[in-house]
Amino acid sequence: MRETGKIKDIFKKFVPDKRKVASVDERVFDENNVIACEALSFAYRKSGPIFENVSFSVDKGEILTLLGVNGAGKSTLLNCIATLLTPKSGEIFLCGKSTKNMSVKEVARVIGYVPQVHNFAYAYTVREFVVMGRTPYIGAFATPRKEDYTKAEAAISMIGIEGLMSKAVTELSGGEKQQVSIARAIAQESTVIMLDEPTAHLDYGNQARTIRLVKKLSEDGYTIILTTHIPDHPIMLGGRVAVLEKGGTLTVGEPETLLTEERLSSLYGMPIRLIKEDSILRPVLYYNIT
Amino acid sequence: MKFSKLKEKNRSDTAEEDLSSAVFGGKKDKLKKIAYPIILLAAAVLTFVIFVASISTGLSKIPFGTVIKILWNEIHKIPQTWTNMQGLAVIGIRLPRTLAALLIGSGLSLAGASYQSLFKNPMVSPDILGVSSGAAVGAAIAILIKADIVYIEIGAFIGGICAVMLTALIPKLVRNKSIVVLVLSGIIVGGLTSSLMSIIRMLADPQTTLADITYWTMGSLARVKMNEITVIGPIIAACIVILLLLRYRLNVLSLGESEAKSLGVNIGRTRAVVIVCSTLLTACSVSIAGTIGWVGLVIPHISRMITGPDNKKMLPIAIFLGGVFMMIMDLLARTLSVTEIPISVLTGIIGAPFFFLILLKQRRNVS
Repeated sequence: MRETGKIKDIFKKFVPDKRKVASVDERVFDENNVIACEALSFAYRKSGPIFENVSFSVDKGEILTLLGVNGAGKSTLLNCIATLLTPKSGEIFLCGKSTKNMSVKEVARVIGYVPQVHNFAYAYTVREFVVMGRTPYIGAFATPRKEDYTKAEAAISMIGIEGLMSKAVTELSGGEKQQVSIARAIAQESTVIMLDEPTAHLDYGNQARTIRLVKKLSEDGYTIILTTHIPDHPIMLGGRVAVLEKGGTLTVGEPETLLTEERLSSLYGMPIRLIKEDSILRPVLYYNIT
Repeated sequence: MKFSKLKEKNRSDTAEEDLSSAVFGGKKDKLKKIAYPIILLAAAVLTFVIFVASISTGLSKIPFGTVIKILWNEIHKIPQTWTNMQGLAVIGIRLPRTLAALLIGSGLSLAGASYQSLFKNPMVSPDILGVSSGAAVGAAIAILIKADIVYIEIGAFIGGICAVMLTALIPKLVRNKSIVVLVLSGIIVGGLTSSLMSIIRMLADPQTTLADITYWTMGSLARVKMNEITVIGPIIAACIVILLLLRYRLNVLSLGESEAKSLGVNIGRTRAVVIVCSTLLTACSVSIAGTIGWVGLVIPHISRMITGPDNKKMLPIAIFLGGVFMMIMDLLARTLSVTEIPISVLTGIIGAPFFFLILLKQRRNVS
C-alpha cells in the first residue's frame, strides 16, 4: 500500500487534518478555502433536480475530482462554480467572496476554465489563442500588451508545446487542443484551474499525458477541480474525490476511503473489484466482461 | 514522469514543427510583422486611388489631378484651374455618391465581420441574419408615410434590431446553436420580412411611393444626396470607431459565449454594444441605398484570407476593402451600360461566384 501512503502525504500537505471528510452533512468551511459551495441546488426546467443541497469546499493547492456516471450533472456543477450557470439556490464563495458580489472579470482571475470540447470557428494561431487567457487583465477597449504575449509564450513553454506556437488551433489534434487550452488557463494566472472531462475525446496515450499534466499543475501549487467518469483518475491524482450520484447527492472524501468496491459497483451498476498489489503503485480497477 | 521529462516528450512529439519553426517560423513571423503595416498602407492607398478614380470616371472624364485639386479646394481655397462644369460634377454629383459607396461598403463589411465574431459563425452577414431585410421593412414604412431621412434611418434601425433579435432568438427556442440553425433562422426572418415588404408595396401609392420603394429595394446610390451623408456619415464613423476599439473583445467573443464569459468578458454588455453598432451600420446603409447584399459576407472572408482571423488586424483591412469593393461596384453600376444597373444586382453577380470560390478554398474550416 505504498500508494496509499503517497496519497496521504499529498493530502496532509494541502488539507488540514481537522477536515478529513467533507460532505453534504459534514462540511467545514474555513479561511483556507479557495472555493466554498454552500447548499447548492440546480434543476433544469422540465426535469428533476440535477443536484440538491450540495456543500463542499476546496483549499489552495488541492485537487478535487468530481466523479460520476454520464449525465450525473458533474459538468453542471462545475459550470455553476465557474458562474457559467446560475444555481437554483445556494451560494458560492471564491477566496471568501460571494460570487453574487463578483464581476465576471473577478471570477476569471480566480478560475481558469478548460472546457470539454473546443469547436473553433476561426483559425487563430496557438499564440493568439493562449493570449486570450490574459483577457481578465485587459480593458474592454484595449488589446494585449507585449507583457501579455510574454506571459502567453511562457505558459506555452511551460507545457512544452513551443513547436505549436504558430500553428492554427483548427489544425490541432484532440490532445494538442487540450494542452493549448490548459496553457491558456495558465496564462490566465488564476488560482484554480477547472477542467471539464479533460480526457474525454482523447486516445489512451493523450489521456495519460493529460492526467500527468494535471498532476504536475497540482504539484506546482494550482488548485485543481476536474470532472471525470473514470474512477482511476481520482486514484491516480490523489487529493480528494467528490462522488456525484444520479439522485443529486454528493459525497466528498479521500479516494482510498470513499472509492470502495461496494460504492463503485453501486455507482456504475456492475461488480467492480479493486486490486491492490505492491508491484503496482496504486489500486487497479477490474471488471468482468463475460 | 517528472515534468521536465514530460516537456521533453511533448517537445519530441512536436519535433517536426520545431524544426520547421526554427527554419521558417522565425522568418515567417518577422515577415508577418513587417507585412501587416505594408498591407494596411496598401489598402489605404488603394482606397484613396479608387476613391479618386471613381470621382474621375463618368460621362465626362475628369483627370485625376483635377479631381484632387477640386477636392482640395473644398478644404483649402486654391486658384481655379478647372471648369465650373467639372467642379459641379465632382462636388455636386460624384462626391456624395462615391462617399456613400465608401461609407456603406466599409460599414456593411465591418457589420458582417462583427456579426461573424459575435455569432461564432463565419457564414453570417447582415443579409443572411435578416438585418438588411428587417431594416428595409422599417425604412419602407418610413418612406410610405413620406418621412424625412432621419426617420427613415430610425425606421431602418428599429426594423434591423427587431430582425436580428428574432434571428438570434430562434436557435435558443429550438435549443440548437449550430451554424445551420442560425442561417435557417435568418431565412425564416427573411421570409417574414419579404412578406411584410409585399404588404407595404400593396399599400403604397402606385403613382409615387411604390416606384420609390421598388427602386430603393433593388439598391442604388443614384439618388444619394450630400445632406443624407451628413446624417449617416457621423453615425457610421462612430460605429466604426467603437467596433474597432472592441476588436480584441470580438476575438474572445468568437470563442463562444461560455468561453468568453469564463475569460472575464461581460457578455450581455459587449454583445449589446456590438449588435447596436453593427445594426446601425446596416440601417445607415439601407436607409440611403436600399438592400445591398454580399458585401458583409464576402469582404470579411477575403480580409481573413489576407491577415488571418485576428480581428485586431482583420477589421481595419475589412473596412478598407469593403469601401473599395463598393466604390468599384458603384462605378460599374453607372458606367457598364447607358441605363444604371441596380448595385445589388452587381454585388450579387460578382459576390456569389466569388463566395463560392472562397467556400471551395476554405471548405475544411467551414465544415
